[in-house]
Amino acid sequence: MKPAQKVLVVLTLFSIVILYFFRLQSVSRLNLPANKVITLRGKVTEQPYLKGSYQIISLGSIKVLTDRFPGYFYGDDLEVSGKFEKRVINPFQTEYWAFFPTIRPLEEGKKLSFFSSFKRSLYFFRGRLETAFAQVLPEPEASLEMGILLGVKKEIPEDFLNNLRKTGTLHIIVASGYNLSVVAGFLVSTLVWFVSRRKALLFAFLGIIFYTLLVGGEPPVVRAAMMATIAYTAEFLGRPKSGLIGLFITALVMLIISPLILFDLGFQLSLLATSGILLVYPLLKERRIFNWPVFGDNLATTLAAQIGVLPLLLVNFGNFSWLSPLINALVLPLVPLLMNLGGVMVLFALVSKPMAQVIGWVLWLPLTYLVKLIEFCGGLPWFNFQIKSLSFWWGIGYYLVLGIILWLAWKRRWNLKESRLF
Amino acid sequence: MEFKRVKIVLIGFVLVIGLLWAAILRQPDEQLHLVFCDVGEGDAILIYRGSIQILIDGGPNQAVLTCLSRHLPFWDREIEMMVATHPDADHITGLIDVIERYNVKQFVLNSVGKNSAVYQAFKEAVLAEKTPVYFPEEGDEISLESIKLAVLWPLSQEKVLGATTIEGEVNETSVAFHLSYGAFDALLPGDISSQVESRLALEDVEVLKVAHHGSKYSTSELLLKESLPELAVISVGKNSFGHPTKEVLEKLKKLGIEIMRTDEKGEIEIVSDGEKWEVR
Repeated sequence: MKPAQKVLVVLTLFSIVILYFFRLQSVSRLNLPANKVITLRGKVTEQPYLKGSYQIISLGSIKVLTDRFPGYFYGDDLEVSGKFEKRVINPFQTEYWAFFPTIRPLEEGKKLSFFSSFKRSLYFFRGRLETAFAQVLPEPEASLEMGILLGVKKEIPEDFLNNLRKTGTLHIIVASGYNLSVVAGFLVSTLVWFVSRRKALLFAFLGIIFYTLLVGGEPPVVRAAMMATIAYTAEFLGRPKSGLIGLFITALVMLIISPLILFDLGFQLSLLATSGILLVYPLLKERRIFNWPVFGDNLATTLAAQIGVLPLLLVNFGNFSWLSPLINALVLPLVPLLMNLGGVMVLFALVSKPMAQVIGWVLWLPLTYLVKLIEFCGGLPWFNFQIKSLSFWWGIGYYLVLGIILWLAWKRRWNLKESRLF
Repeated sequence: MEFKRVKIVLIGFVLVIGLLWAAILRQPDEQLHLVFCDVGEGDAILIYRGSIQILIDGGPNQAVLTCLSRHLPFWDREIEMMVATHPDADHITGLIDVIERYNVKQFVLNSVGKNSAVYQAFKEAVLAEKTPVYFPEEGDEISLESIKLAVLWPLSQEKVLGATTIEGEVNETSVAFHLSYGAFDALLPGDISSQVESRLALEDVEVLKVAHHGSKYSTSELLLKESLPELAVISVGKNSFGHPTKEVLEKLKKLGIEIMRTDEKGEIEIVSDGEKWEVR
């Protein structure tokens, strides 16, 4: 790089940081008096989920814990009266929690915006798909499949969720880039039977956007969808694609639009795991062991992602399973099969239940394999590495060391094609 | 393309063979299984033999679903009979989830309703099913193949679901059963109190489900002396009522009755061939 270019890069980065803090400051913050009964009105902003016998409802930064019945839905207009307890998450983000307040649904609330009512009908549709799985598959297989295909985790049995966490496989029930690539692959390979490849790609692209909204548009899947869009546009324009720059731009756009996302664990994990895959995976693939058929590739991917997120896992969950890359290598090859079969089953379920049931049986087998494997490994005490608490500074140190190692490893390679970076 | 087709055929082949094996291995045995599911503070009792399943109450959460999945073969989405002993949340909540997911062939319900959101949801779920509903009374005998359930309580019932709505205590209206399979007997009294217990026609049983999660107002000495159980099962979890109470535990110990609790043991499964029985 020429000196002038360097100055430009530094200036751009600097102004981005300024812009971000400006956006962060402008986030509206609620201030409710403590220990007083307050009545609030608002719309349900996320699909409520279950925790044991209770239901957790979000009205923006206000969270409500209440009985499971009556169940509320995304977009419902509610009046909540009760005491609100403040929970500071970080200097820029506070939540208010109300426990068993009086809730009154409002009949004539403000009308939903077009986007919200579209999202509401998408959630109704997703609810129908969830029922289809629940009716043909036993638990926890049914909720595992819902998690893998639809990113729904509201009904996963607590024990099983713990086992997923312990084995480092929780990410399979989070909708992310892997799911998107399977959906896109499925759509393209089906659609090329009917239309030209170019059109198939376009439809697959629309399919990805639909899927992203259907699964609830959480940070990891939005990140993946945006990166896919950038890569797709780059290919369309005939520009060479660079994953790193795509990731950088995506993260930037997401942060400027909604600054608080920086503190979202899903966003952090997604960002660091993807960086890990982009930067560490190619280095791992240079070794022969990671070129074994089926498992080698998954092993390298998970290991790379894990190297990227290790401190984050340790700080947030206090545990880390050192065999997780191995178990992921045994689990991941099944995910495309489970998604494709699940997608087909759900389509049949909308038409004929007996047909769906037959596909459900076929689906049951690989799901049970996953459940048994995860339960078995989750039950092994030596599988998991527990720590009490990790200082924030260890994480900084880790990324510093990792950064230096990666810089040294990539310096030589990048020198060959430096012009492509910026 | 050729390679891809081979791969798909191979995966399909493995799946079908695996499925056949799984079906063979999951063939049910011909014994009676009496399972007290680990659902926390609440009741969920699964009785099954072969392909016949009876579910008595569903616990306060969705834990009953995992219990059903563990005991039913994967192809069986039918519950032959579902019982709700009384309309308290720790007995009917899980039933709503079961109705949503399984095909229930017969409801056997307590017609007494309760003014609660859970009961409302339960009633709606039952009525939406178009499945026959029966309201049992004392003296009724329900049999599914060789499984017999004699109804001990209540004396009489209205014939409409939720016909009378009771504010507060509904435990006394609980449906109580005497289960028999050959020479094996069990007493399943729901949440009734000692006052009701004294009015039941009791016989000698092997297993007793302790009424109302071990509340001190239930499980009188009279009941224990008349039913003479060898094993007492307490379906209980974390709670603020002090269940199971010291009083009940001491009474059981004094009479030399073995105690098993779902909060200590997790799920409790009793298996009988109609003569002998054992805890698994």
